[in-house]
Amino acid sequence: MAKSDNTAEILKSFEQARESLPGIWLAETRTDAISRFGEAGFPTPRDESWKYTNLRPITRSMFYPFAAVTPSNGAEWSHLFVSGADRIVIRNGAYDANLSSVGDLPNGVVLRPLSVALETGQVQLEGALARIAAVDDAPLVALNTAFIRDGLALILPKGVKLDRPVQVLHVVECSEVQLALHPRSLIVAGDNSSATVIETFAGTDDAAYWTNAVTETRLGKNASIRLVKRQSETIGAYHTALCQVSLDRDARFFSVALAAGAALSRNETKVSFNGAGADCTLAGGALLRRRQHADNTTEADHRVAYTTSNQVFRNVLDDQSRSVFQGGVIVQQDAQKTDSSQSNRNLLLSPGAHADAKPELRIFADDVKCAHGATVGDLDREALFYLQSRGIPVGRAKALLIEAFIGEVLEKLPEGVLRDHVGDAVSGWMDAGEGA
Amino acid sequence: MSFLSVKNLHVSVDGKEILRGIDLELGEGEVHAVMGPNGSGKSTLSYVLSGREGYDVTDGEVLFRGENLLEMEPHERAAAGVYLAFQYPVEIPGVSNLTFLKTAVNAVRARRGQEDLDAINFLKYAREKGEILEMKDELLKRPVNVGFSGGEKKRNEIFQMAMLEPSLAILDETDSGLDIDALRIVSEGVNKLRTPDRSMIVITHYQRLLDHIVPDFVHVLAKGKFVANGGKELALELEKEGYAKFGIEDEAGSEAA
Amino acid sequence: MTPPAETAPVIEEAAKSEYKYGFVTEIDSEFAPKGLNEDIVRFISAKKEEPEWLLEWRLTAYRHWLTMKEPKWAFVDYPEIDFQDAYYYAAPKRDEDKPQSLDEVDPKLLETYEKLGIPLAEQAVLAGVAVDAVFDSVSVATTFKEKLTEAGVVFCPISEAVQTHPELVQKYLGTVVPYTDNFYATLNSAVFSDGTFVYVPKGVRCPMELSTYFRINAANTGQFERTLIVADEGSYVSYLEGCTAPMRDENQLHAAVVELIAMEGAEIKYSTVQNWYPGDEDGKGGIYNFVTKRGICKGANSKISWTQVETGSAVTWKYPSCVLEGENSVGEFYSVAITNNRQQADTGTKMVHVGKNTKSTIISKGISAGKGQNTYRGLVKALAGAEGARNFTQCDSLLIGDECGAHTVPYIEVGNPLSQVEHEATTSKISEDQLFYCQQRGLDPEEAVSLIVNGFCKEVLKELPMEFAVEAQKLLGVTLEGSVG
Repeated sequence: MAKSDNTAEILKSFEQARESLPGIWLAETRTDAISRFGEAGFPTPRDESWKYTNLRPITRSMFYPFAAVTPSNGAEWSHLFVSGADRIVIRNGAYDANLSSVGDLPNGVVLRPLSVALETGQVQLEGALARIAAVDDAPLVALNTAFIRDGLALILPKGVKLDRPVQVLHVVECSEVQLALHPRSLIVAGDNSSATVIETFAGTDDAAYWTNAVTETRLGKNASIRLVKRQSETIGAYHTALCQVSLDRDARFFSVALAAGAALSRNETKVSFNGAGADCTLAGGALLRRRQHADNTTEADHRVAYTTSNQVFRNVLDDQSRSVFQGGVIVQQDAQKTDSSQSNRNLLLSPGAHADAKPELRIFADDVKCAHGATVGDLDREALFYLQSRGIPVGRAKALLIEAFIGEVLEKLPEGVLRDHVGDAVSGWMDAGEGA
Repeated sequence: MSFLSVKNLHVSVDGKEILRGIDLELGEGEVHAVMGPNGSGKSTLSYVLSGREGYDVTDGEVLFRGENLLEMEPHERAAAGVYLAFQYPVEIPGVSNLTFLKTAVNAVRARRGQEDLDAINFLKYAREKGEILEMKDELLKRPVNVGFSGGEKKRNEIFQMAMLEPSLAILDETDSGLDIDALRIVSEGVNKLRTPDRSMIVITHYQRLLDHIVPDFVHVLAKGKFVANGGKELALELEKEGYAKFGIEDEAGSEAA
Repeated sequence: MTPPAETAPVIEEAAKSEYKYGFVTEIDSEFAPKGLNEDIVRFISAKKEEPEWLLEWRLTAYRHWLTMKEPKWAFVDYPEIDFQDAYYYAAPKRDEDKPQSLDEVDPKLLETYEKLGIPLAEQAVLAGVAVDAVFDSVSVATTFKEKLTEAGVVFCPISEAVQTHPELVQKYLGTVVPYTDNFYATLNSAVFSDGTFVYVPKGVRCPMELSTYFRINAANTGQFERTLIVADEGSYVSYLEGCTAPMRDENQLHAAVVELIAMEGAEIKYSTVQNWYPGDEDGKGGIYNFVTKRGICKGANSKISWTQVETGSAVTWKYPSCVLEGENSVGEFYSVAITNNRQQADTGTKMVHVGKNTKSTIISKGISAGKGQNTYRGLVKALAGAEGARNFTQCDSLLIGDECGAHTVPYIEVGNPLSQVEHEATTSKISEDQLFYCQQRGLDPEEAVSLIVNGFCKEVLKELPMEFAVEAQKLLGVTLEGSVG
């Protein structure tokens, strides 16, 4: 089949770059991954799971995985720092030691930029890195795997609780070429361990780039991981991401992912339940305007009995923007007593906005409780009128209702730095709308 | 041959022994009260007599009119005349009370060798019995127990009992969750259904029900065994002195007043 | 239940029609050879003495079909169908080849009819007993067809309508489901056997349910049925297709097309009871039912309502849909789908809101038992111009046993802020509490399941025409026999 996209160029660029990629022990994995990508090519809307998101803008232009980039023009990122957090900054795809800061850690904890860990910590990474997120039927994961260069390595030994959150801040400050970035985060939580990880994505206004991120997370028995993601990429950017989570017995995974940036974004979260008592909450949403497109896709794969999942997604759409929610819940035959719920609501603020939702249930066990709901609509007229009748100007009233709507996602986070960090993205979005 | 004879009944649930040797002789037309604190095994007794799955009889026997009750399926027991008024009546959405009862009454009649009631005769019969419990037509048409108040549910249980005309009625905490008025309606209904050929086991935590439905005998159940047996005065004694007198801990006992 | 008085004349009509088309005299030469090619399409068209335009339409469809691939997105699994290994035209059986009385019919089949409470005369028709043998004894009462003619309603086989009302057929055929629509609809366009045509003129309320007819004829509609119903301005028609009785058929593949057109202020109520042979316990020999059903609410204030009870077939692939073009038009979909043993159903609807203030309601009840797989797949789409569009979807699944599957795949696509779309779904099983409660009141386990399932389906069953609702309730019980041990 003739390809009209840039697959061939990407394969070529891999050949040129492979020598410079870190971690010789990973070479075979990379080779395998790139050939998987070559065989599959980019997903298209013909693939059921990409029905509503067309990657054409990405496949039609060239992004460079390794361009020589002029050093920082002094861009200021401190407003994105989460105070009190250990911080690893990945700038233009590579670790920036100057902006990063990691304090003292409990014994045995690995918290490093991935590039460093790849060269020094083969033993700790083997068996986890590129093992949790499968490359089968996932060409973008395959591509990321081939190009793994930097990101986060977080390995928690048994029973360790990290008191400070860990922030991984990805920033892009490159205007001369379109960069392709393939950041990878690896989080391995031993039995009874717990931690909070914040992933923040941003870029300078003049940058155009493609972030293709993969986060692999494995939770041991009774481990607990909270993953907070703020996607504030610059408006010219594209963002595709997959977070793959594997849960052992009684493990708890909790994630909040909010997208306010990027021209086109896709945030996919896949959780597999491999032990009884495992539980996950996936919350998220998008705030969109102009011609932005944001896709939140989830899959909760209940494989064993007595597991629970809860999904809450809220999208706010203005102008010509478009949101996609594809929520998947699978209950396998052995997964009796699964309790799963899913809620997706979409708020359309403008005649040109468009929301697609596909909340899907696939159930092969009989003793389960599964429910989902999805709505699309505009602001509640009655509530709006009520607020106005109490003297609140219409613009302020609308803002209040929008904040309340997206607040159903924010309130999943504890008050304090975490909620503020994501909340800043919300208020930034609201403020930008006021001028328009 | 006694009407109901329970001998050395041992019952386990999920491998845990709940009833540890119950003996009970019930004559025709007798009303026995079984009292006991939470977790003593009261509901287990009602379920094992009505045939619910998951209650394993590990020892003992139950003879109902000389027949082995434990070998019968739940619906066969119902046809034979065993009726359980549930502590928590179950909701069945979309199925009207009347449809439900018509199906049940005719199923039971069929097994008793009686002819089906047709729609008109059934309705007449239902209205007649409904009056006893002050069941409005509207309650009869609503889906089984869906949207019923607590009192309405319990009334519905006794109404169904009136319809099915059992020879052995087991009332499992029929008084729980009822206010005074509802309790009066329910217990008056029960009393109207008290006949010389109908026996009852009234299971309750509180004595107050027994002011209305006066039992012939009272048994006190604790940790899976009857620890005291006597006449109706036993209930009053229990009321006055609490379960503690029988060496039983009951944190909920104080509510009995 | 006794058959409605209207039954008899229809039967008479049906009996006559065979002779009218001369099938009897030439029957032995009326088998087209296996396989599909342009000659077969021409043969079918010639047999039906069709006008040139219709032959051309069939041929265009056939040529287009050659370029298409079988859709694979549905959640069903069946062996590859060899489309060249099938007959596309076979004349109906002659009376002398059919059983001459009910005594010659499989007693198992009769037992099921008995359970469903189907009257004897109808049992005979359904079992395929020779028409003359059955209906000689049925007294001829009032005039069914006359009543319709009086009202100006056209109601006849579509092959007849092609001859008697060619202008109407040509005007509307393929306007809702174009010959390019999908693999099976395109195949149907090329080779459709027969079906029904209904035209209800302006302002006419069809004087009766168009159901009795189908009770009688359902057994013989052929494997590529084509139905076209046009309700002109301000008219009303209720149409019932199918039958609660299990229908056997040697043709494994059924690919029907139904097109509904509702003009301004018109209302079409279309009810289906599908009980094709589901195959044996391993699913062998069951019917593949790949149906395209779509209605268009063309005029303002029009309404199309689909009600379906799907209990049969080995594989069902079916999405009765509404295109809501006219302002304030209304689309409804009420569905009960049961899969037991190895049955698979992928069914649902599409509600496409085009006009302003259009409304749609979807109530879907899926029941899976045995090793059955049951998928609800539904699209709700509000286009940019569909201001004030409203949709409410409720999708409930009930599981009986731990080897079956229930799947819900809604697609919601909204391009208009002034629309409200709501989707709710739940999946649950029949609770042990409910089963025990019913049993304690004297119901055996099968009666209990049947009762609970009927309650679960209540919202849909109440949409069925009265005389059918009773049978449909029994049908649910019969279908689920053996699903509880």
